[in-house]
Amino acid sequence: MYRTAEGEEIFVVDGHVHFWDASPANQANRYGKGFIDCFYDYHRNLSPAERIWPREKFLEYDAETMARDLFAEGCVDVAILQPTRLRDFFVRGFNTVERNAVIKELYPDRFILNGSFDPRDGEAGLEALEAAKERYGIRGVKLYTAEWRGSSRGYKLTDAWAYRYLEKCRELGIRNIHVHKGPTIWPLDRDAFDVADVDHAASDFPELNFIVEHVGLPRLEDFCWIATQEPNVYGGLAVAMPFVRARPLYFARVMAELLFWLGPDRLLFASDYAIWEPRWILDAFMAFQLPEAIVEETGVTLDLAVKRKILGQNAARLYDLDFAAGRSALPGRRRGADGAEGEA
Amino acid sequence: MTRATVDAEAVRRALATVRDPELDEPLVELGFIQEAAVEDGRIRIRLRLPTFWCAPNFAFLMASDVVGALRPLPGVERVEVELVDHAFSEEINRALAAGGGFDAAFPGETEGSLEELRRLFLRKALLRRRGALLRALAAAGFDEQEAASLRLADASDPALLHALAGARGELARYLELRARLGLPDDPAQPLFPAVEGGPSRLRVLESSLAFNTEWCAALLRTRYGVPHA
Repeated sequence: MYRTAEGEEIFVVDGHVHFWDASPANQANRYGKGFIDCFYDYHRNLSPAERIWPREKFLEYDAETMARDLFAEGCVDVAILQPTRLRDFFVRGFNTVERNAVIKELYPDRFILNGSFDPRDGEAGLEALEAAKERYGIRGVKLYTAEWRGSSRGYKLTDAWAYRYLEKCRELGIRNIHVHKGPTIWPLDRDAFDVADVDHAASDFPELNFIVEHVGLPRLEDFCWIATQEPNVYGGLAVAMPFVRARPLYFARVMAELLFWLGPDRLLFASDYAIWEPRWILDAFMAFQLPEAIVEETGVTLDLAVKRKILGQNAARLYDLDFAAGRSALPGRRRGADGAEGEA
Repeated sequence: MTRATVDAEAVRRALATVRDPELDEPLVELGFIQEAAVEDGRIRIRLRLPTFWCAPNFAFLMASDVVGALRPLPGVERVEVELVDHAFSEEINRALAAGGGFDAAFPGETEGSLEELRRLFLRKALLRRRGALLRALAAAGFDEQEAASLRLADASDPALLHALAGARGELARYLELRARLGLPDDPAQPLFPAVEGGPSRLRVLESSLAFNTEWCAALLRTRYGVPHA
């Protein structure tokens, strides 16, 4: 629970966290190095100076550090582990379901473990998805549509095989489809960040929820446009969120657009840990108010009730978490394997 | 035989016209030109971008637009553009050196030329300027109907120019983009045609591009250790 200066308690779900291994030994090639270097620039650019990690720590951190940053320091109640395989860039993968399962095991009540699929895996991947459901009970998947695979540069949600996987998700009760767009996708001469495929998939699978990560940035305008038309499209706030402290005016404009087009019920807080730590983002977000001129122009509201929804209630609805009963309804808070986390 | 020498000032001016196709801002102002060296008839440009992963199609457009802007200058025999520190540096630089197009950089990975992508973003740039101009007009007391009734011919009307005094640059670029996109240039054409979704659609586009421009500029500063402006 996050406690405000006024003593209000707020249930927090961090909708997008990573437990990655980008150590030099795991970097397969210059793409792997380029990938984590890019993340480190993100980290250095928006973090407060005193929260900037040494590069070495950023490459690989341990489970205790992560639990402390999220749950003890960070006041996060539940964090959602979103895997990113990247096996063409990292020898053992970057942030795989198997690796995430290790930390989930240590803090079982504090993490939600999401799976993943790649339509290019064909029949074998469908079986693997079923096995993951069986083994880990996953209720969501994270997709990175720009992931390289040999000579392939990504896929679209509207590909025939992608539809077979979405069909399988529906059948297995994996309801939450987190979609992350990236800069390279075939054909390379089109806009790589185009979200039109999410629009089609969301219409064709109304029982599934499509959470577009990074609220479609850098195509916020296209994302907002499709999200108003598809009630099962959500916005994950990773990357947008840390702007709240370093560049509040840009954050204000993005947040006002999201509230204007999607409303307060379809936005999910996320830190994108370990790119950024949740605590300073939460502090800045709770202190944040939309400038009067923006409120006047857009007519939106960002009060405590809306912040509660964004910070936890919306994600709780998607993942069937009980937030209304408060913290005591979160069993296992004391059960961290190393005791790093306490009720305090 | 004497050769015309390349005018460094002409190079600077020509380079200043090249814009990021996505953000519609000049590369020079964005800090993307790391180095421009003129040596006899040869110009060498080093192009740097905010991240290792900036979309390769936009990177290629920028590099080839630099060549296109500098090559016609008097005395120029060769323009060499090198894209540095990028995931696709090798592929793109090889194609540029051979004078090939984007499909030559990525054989089998494209479906056509980059013109469709370019038009899509010129159109976004145009709409973003339209939004900014309509806001400036509203601030100057024009109501929606008055703004909608303006014609292309009014773009040079002193009263309108006065109302848009703080947005002259936007207006100039807006008219440039109209021409670049080949939109009808009949003076009776509406200056600001309505768009699907109305003013809110223009506003979200502006917010999005403002965010992206700021993020790109910030990442470039971090990546190359350039102090904040």
